[in-house]
Order: sequence, then C-alpha cells, then structure tokens
Amino acid sequence: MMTWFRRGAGDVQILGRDPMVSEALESLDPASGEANYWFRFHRRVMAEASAELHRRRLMARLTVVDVMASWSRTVVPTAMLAAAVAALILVRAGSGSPESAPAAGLMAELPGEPVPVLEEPGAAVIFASFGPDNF
Amino acid sequence: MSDTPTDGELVYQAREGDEVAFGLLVQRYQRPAYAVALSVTGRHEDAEDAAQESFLVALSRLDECRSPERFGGWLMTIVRNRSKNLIRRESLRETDQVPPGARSSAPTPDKVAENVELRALLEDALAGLPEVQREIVLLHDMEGWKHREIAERLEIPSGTVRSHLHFARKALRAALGEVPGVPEILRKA
Repeated sequence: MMTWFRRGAGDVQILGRDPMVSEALESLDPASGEANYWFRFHRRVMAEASAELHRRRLMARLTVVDVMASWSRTVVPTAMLAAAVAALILVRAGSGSPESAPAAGLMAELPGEPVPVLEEPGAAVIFASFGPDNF
Repeated sequence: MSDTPTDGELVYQAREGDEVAFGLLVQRYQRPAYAVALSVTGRHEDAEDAAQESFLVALSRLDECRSPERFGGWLMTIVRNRSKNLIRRESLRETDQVPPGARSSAPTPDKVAENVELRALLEDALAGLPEVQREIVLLHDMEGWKHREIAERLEIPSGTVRSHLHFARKALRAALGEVPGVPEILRKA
C-alpha cells in the first residue's frame, strides 16, 4: 500500500503546503491584484440577496394568528354578504303565500301547448285492431 | 463551547432571512466557492460570476439543504453545476470573442504585470489537469483546506484526495518548471 508519509524529503510536503505551488497559486487569488476584492464580492452577493432575505424574514414572521387574520379579512365580509343576500331572498319569498306558490306554478297551463284529451276506450281499440276486412 | 456558529446554525438562521447569518456563510465560503468555480471554468471572470450566482441559488434553495451541517459540500455542488452551465452557455456564445490582450490592456506596474504573466501560466497549467485535481489543488494549496475537509466536502475518501493532490502538484511543478523564467517570477511574487 502506498503511504504518503515515507516517500522522501520532497514528498513530505504532500501532507502540508507545497511552498512552490502555493506561492504560484496565490497569484490566482483575485485579492492579489485588488486588496478589497473579497469585501466587494461579499457586498455584491449581499446586495443581490437582500430581496430574498427580506421575503424570508416576512415568511418567518407569519404566525398562525396572522394567517387566520389574513384569511378572516377575506372570508368574514364574504360570509356577511352571503348572509345578507340569503336574508333578503327569504324576506322577499315570505311576502307571498309560500305554500301555494309552487303548486300554482305546476298547475298553470303553458301557452300554446295542446292539452291532452282522454279518448274513448273503444275508439282506440278500433284504430289499432287488424280485422280480416283490412286484408 | 465555541462562539463560532456552525454551518448548521447559520443555515437555520439564514432560512428565516437573517442577513448576518447569510453574510457569515458567504464570508466563510466565498473563497472556496471561487476556487471551485475557477477549477471548472478556468477563467477569473466566469469563476466570479458562477460563485456569486451560486450563493444566490443556494439562498433561494436553502430549504432543500437536507443536512445544514454539510452546507459547504452542498454549496460546492451548486458551484460546480453553475460553473458547468456557464461554460455551456459560453460555448454557445462562441461569437462573443474577447479581443487578444484585453485582459492587460491597461498599463500596469511591474508587479502586476508579473502577476498577470504568472496567472496566465498557471491557468494554462491548470487547464491540463483533470477537473477534480484542479479543484483539490486549489482548495488545498490556495485556500488552505485540510485533506479531511476536502474529502468531506467532495464526498470522496481522504486517500483519494491525497492522491489527486500529489498528481496535481507533480503536473503543475512540471508545467511551471518547463516554462523559462517561472522560478524568477515566483521568487519575486
């Protein structure tokens, strides 16, 4: 098995920082060219994140009571309006005769509709019979 | 008990919109995020964009971070994905070419010029490494992360981290050593 501890003087650096590579890689750090680079980076991220953070704060502040309150703001007026309309309908319906009104509607004749007439039982039999004279 | 809040604590606070907590997370991971993005994109401008975007994506998806204590690893996955997407987008926009020499068009002092030169050499040398090796060598030798931290964040065995680091360093040393003048630049840097 390969160990990383016993490979010669040069490779001891494997477990720590490699001075040459580390030093070279420092030039890739944007702060090497601009001292306040990371401050600027941080500030830009925070500026762009502010709207989402604000939204999250609002959501976190919402309690069950808040939800119920906001819900009731919509539901209570709607329920009150529905109750008022129902009351109005009942009052208006109560001004006539509640018992006779549906029956009268059912009994009323529709204009233009022929009234069915009950024919004589005999006539129907004659019309529908097939006597020997017909053939 | 340490006063330094853990990632998990900060994530829980940031989920509720705590600006300070999120700010600390950004401060803690801005450099590693940049290093990972640089290891994928290979360009400073793209790495910067990808790292910044990644923090915003992480914030918007903070509720999806199932193990807040492992925020670092989760964030690095986002950084890697954003960086790859950015490269894909860039490759689709091939026509948008940067004029040669645009990077160093402004007159710069000697030190900056040397830095730019070394930077270009390193970018070329890093480009020749596999992505995972670039990421490990940057996190370890640029950001000072420990093998164990890298192994946890990348979710690979510690031995594999060491192995990748060894080969990455070997390749970098070889690449830098072949270029005339590099040791001088390193001495001055």
